[in-house]
Amino acid sequence: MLAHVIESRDILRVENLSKDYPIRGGVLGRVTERIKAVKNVSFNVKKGETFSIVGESGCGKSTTGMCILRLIEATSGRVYLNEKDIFKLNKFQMKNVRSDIQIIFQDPYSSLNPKLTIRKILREPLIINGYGTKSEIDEKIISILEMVGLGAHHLDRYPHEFSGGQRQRIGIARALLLDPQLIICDEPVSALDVSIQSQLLNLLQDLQEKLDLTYVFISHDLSVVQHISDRVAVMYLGEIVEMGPSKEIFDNPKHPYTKALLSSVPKVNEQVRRIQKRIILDGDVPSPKNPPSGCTFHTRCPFAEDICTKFAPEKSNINKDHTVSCHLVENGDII
Amino acid sequence: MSTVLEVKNLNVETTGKLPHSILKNVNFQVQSGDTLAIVGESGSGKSMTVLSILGLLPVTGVRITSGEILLEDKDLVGYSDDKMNAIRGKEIATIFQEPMTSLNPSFTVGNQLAEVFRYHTNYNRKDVKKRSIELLKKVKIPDPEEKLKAYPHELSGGMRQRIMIAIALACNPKLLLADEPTTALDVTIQAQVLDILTDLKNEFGMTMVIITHDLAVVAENCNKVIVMYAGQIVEMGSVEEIFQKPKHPYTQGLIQSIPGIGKPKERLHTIRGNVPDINQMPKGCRFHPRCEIATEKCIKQEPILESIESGRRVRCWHTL
Repeated sequence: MLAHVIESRDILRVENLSKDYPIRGGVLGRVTERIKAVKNVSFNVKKGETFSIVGESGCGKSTTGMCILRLIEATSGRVYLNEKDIFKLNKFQMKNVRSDIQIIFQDPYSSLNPKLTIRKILREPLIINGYGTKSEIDEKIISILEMVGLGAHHLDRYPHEFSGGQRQRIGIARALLLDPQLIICDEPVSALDVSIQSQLLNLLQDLQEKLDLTYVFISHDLSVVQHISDRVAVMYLGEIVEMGPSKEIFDNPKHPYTKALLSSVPKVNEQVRRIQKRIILDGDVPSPKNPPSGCTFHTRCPFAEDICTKFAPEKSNINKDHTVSCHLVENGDII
Repeated sequence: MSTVLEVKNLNVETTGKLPHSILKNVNFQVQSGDTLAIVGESGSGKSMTVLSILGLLPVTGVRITSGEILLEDKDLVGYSDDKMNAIRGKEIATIFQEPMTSLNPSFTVGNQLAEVFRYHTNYNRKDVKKRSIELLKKVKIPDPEEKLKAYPHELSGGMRQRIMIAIALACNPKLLLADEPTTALDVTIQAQVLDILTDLKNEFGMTMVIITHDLAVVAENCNKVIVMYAGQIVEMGSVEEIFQKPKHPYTQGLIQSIPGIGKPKERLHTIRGNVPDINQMPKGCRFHPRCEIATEKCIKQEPILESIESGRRVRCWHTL
């Protein structure tokens, strides 16, 4: 499955990334509490692969993506891009790194400036990075637009003249302009209809092959993730609870949350539906303001035991690539 | 089985000098006990159909130009607001997509539940409270008495959607219309809400129309399906027929486009192009610019919704 990954060099390494948001209260506006949006998240992404982060709303998947780009400054942890610690860079050094990591946002309606033409929107990154003369810039823009299935005749139009799918293509073009190595795709197809979604997923895969791109794909849609990923990390309340090759996660999930999450997805295929028994979780995702003690999933876990309420589970290895954080898996209770 | 709702030749157009057609000759029936799904992409007219049934079309800009909406033997087209108010919430109830915005933020849950009873029944305060608690228990809300005093912002999305269901069920409606009831929810919460809807349906033998763009939700929860495209019904049939033997090229394309059916990383099936704009509706078959098998006939002549078996209809020149 990883056949197209020629070298298995790590392009991105995230170590113990955490992000707290302080809550201020009282007359003096002192920090009274901290919301832990992301807690000790570590993973690595190999060159040429698609690494997906899945989870429900509020699990910290987008915050993780933003922290990697330093669009949000992390509280602690390290992010290495090609073995370079990017948290140590200053503003100017960071500018150079930004052309290597780009992002595609979820909402194609609000991520393009409505007052600018497509030409102006796409020129901006090239001008900022001193790409060359006006005609060189236009040439580059047109070649990228053609790559995403649009053309020169679209250049002088405004974003409102495009459909959602086309706008997302413009968003992709913008991310490609500076020849990045890594693209963070933050729910790139969630706002689109199924028939348009499949066009864009194909486009993303074609571009990956053609340009040797690496994707960090953030999504809540498990069928999309299953389709596009090489490896998957499942997040719950700011932590990675399970991580491994896509096939293993989907065919043989270990963590009770992953199992429940996968079984909750409605399925078109009747045979799959019959094999997989649905696990319906009780209650809602707890507030990250006061997360449950021990394993944060124990309040909703159908298998929770005493130990789960007291101690947070350590990460354990199922095999070399597949890790899971659960006491019961570790003890061999759930296999 | 009796017919609860029948929509006959419903046409909705924009007002103005050059009216554009939004719904064109929409025809369908809902039998008692059915769970009917109306699926389609954005702009296909599925929500407009629901709003027409409820008499909630925007006051300006669009209007029903012809057709009948028969709820048992009453034709709802042209009903005044007062007359519709007596029907909405009592005979037809609705759940909308956004549980965040469809509850009033300045009233408590108890207050909003009581409103339905105040309007449609002559219960006294005690009865209202008793019945409200019963309803919250039905939709599996923990400690219902406390929750009656809560404001919407104190509840999670899944909880709010369950409150909406409770409000919709308050007067045992004949028909429940659910417009994208789980689209805004996370998968694990979606599973909870769909589970509750199925339980309630089995318990009360409720008739339901679910509007959605999620084909998997349809496959699991409905028994009949209507597929809409650009303001028209293009195919209808039982859920098995639609998913196993889709006849219309659009339905076929839609089902094949879902990721996760084929092998991972394999190219997905796509339907080329975009949904047409209402002011540039293609002539002939409305799907022909995106259709793989379109011929001269499709460009010139509009196909009719032909019945091919009982309860099964397709609007296409080539599947007949």
